[in-house]
Amino acid sequence: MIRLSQLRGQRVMTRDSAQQIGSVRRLLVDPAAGTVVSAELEGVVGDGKILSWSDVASIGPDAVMVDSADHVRGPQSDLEQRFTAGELDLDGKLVLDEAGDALGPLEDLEFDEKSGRLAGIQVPGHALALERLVAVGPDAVIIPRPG
Amino acid sequence: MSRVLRATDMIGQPVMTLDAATAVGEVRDVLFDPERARVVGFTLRGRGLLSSPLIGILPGDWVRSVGRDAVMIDSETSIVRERDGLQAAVGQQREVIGKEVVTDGGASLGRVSDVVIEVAGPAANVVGYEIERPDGNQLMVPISGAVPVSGDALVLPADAEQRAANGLSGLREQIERSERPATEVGA
Repeated sequence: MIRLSQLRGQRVMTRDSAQQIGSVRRLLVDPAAGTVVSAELEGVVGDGKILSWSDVASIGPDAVMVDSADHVRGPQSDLEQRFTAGELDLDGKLVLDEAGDALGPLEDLEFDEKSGRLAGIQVPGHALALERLVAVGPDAVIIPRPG
Repeated sequence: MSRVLRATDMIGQPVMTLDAATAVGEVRDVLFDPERARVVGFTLRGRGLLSSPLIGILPGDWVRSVGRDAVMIDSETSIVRERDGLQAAVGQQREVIGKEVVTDGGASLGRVSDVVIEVAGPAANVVGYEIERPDGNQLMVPISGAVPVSGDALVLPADAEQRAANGLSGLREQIERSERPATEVGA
């Protein structure tokens, strides 16, 4: 398991040339699939800033490793286009359950580092098990009603 | 689990879409049908200082859930915008706040100052009327069904005053007691 907070700002390096190509700025979660699908990097030379989660080779205590810089690209899917345009941001967003009760700002997300599958969410005072999100938008992250 | 709250406490609550996690407006008024003791919808206003005072109506049927912090709807299309015909959207609804309350014995109790509703998921029922008497005191009358209403007044049973609850907390207690399953006390 790995947390959003562990990855934010973490440097991304290539295995083929031991180069740092950037650092992790944000992660894209596909809400319905409940899966981290991409990462957006910052400090990258060149146009592309997106990395598929499936192209992450390994995550260590000091770096996220990818096979080569070729994996860093522009947005492809619909979700990635919206992500690049500034939508689907998770950091500090208000977490609301689908019944309309607020849980506080999103503090962290926990997910499986290999598959990207969500396992849980951290809000002030609670850690909740979570498999998917109902929606992510400008005003909230909506989660299924617990229990 | 249900909640009992004043309808006026809902004013300003954001209305959030489940498809786009966007707050499309906030509650401006709560609309009631006293004859069915139900909330039948909400009028909405825009959010923020320079926003529109009236953006449309949200019919009760399109509300997915009334939560502590937001009213949840499927999407923006759940809101009936002004030009589409506001009145037709909610059918029977009446102005209740400010209306005179008269008992069927012919006594005037005062004017409705607030409506107390019980919310469970998407449904919201009227469970009490708070009445401001001419002397300034408040009377909290529990409601358990239809209340006849005309353009001039709401009519409550003659014993309404006797059945009055001790404020909002008293009304909540009464409701909780009536909803708790009956249990044997002692042997």
